[in-house]
Amino acid sequence: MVCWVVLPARAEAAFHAGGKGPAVLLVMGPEADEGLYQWPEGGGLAPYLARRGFSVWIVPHGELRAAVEQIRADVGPQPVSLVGFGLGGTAIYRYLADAGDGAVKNIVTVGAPAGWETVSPLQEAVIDELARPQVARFSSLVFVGSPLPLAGRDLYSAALTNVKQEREAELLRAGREAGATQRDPALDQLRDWVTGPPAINVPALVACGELDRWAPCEEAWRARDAMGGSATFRKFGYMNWDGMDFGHLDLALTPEARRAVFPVVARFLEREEL
Amino acid sequence: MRTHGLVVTTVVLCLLAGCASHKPRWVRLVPVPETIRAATDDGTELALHHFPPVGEAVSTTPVLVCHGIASNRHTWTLGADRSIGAYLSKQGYDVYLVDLRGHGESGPATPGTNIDTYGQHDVPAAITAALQHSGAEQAVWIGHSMGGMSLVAYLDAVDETPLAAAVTVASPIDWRGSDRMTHLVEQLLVLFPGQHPLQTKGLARIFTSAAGDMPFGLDRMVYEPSNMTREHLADMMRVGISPIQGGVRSQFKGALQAGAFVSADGGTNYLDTAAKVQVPFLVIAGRADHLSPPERTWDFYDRLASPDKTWRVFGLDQGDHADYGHVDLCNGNHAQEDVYPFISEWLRSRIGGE
Repeated sequence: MVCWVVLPARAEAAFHAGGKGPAVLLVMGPEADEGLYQWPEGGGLAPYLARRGFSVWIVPHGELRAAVEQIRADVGPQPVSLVGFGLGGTAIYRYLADAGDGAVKNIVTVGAPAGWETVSPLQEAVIDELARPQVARFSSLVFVGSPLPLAGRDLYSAALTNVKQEREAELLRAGREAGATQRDPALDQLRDWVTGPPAINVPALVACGELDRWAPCEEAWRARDAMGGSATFRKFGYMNWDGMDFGHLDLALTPEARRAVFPVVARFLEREEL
Repeated sequence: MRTHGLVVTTVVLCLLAGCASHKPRWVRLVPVPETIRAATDDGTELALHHFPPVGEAVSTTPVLVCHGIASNRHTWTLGADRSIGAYLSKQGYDVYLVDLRGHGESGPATPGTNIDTYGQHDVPAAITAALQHSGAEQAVWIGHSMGGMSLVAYLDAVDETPLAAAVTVASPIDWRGSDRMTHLVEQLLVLFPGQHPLQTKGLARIFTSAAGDMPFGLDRMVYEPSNMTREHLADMMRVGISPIQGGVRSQFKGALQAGAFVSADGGTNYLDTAAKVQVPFLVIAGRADHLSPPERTWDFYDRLASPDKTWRVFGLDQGDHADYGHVDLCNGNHAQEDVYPFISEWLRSRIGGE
């Protein structure tokens, strides 16, 4: 069963997904929905980090600046950690470029598109697809099956058994129920929207999947360099003895992510707490 | 206990090697139309395997194609559909497959041979020989992996070059950070210290027998299984393998320490060489290359001063037929459909208008 979070009627910039401890904000990009960090129930990054001793907040797209202010007002003035998957990571880069890193303790981006000097045909196709009305949610895009030149599965895994069929169906249903029709203006300008990170002074972990074709590792490599020396690069794949090459959604939605990716994220955040 | 372990390992390896040798192999090598010799300025002789243009020549500019580490020209002779020499010659190019010293049919490696040696002596000698043989004034160098690193060492050593275009295929110049590639090199240095050439045939035989089933995806370091047949892999491991020189291994040690491909004396960081290169440049990488992943080739491309430069990763995201591993960029199942035509077209607009 998908743990689908209904946002409260009163507009809040972020909602608390559980846990006590230092505040970690899980940032959503324009393509994501709340299931990204909470699917399947009890298995996503949000409950994982909550169990590891963090106070986890999920930030809908476009609310990051307000969320940082809200949480610091509610919880305390100490800097917060920002974690973003996919375009959620890109949203963090944008936030840092606009607001600076004064309120930020550290950042983690996982599979975040970061600067498109070269745009591959697959990226072109996904951008076009995302910009269409009716299909504004990534999970829908990927799992509905779309007129991409490549099958939607190429966005997630080299190991095709990795995301099981029934889970795809489950996500698809959930995506439909959540109403995948809202169009975000940001998606129309995705080419301009995806920028590399600014130079920052806070510690950063830039993670990527070895066979992530949407946010390939060379972009993460460049992002690490652009930040200016304080960032750590981590590739998930055979290159680091992870047992398989991770595709895009593999980094967030699979048992392999819980085994390989989440612990690396948690350890990075914990190390920063010491 | 340690001795027992060593004995058991040796026995297993010998058994594996024995198994491999009993399997029938059919090597369907592309015949080389002509082989010419090139003398280097330090007294070694190189073999250049010439594929003249078939039919109407699209360009008189000789295209030299150079193999990578532990390899030789047979990287590109494993079948008419896996030979960049045969392909480009059919497209009207004048192609020379180069054997570096100590590889293939070239003369033996001189003492202390390293990648600088290839770049400072072998690359210019091969280019000069091809120019003399063809009567042309300019040439093209396509280097796979270490063949591309040799090209970079060459470009650093010369002030002027007759190259009209240059291509590196999966050549790692950026060595920062640690991953499996750097681990592999570290292990190589521990297991085979010293300056003796590392004889690779036995290792290749073991590799062949275990390929496809190796734990931890070890075989994927070299190739992407979806883009290579075991048969062709076996062919390559049997005929396409040459020793690794001690000096080359030492230079890799320097690269590990410096975080970049550097000269053997450590004095030159070859990433910086990019800033003085003006030659039209094509940098190729494979999406599933675990030896030279795309990000290890990016920085060199980024720093290239060439006004005309191209970056291309071969993988499903580019609409190619497969994600490309390290050697299948040269001779994978789909190289003829994806890689060769791209190189041919890229060259056509640089040297095809003569």
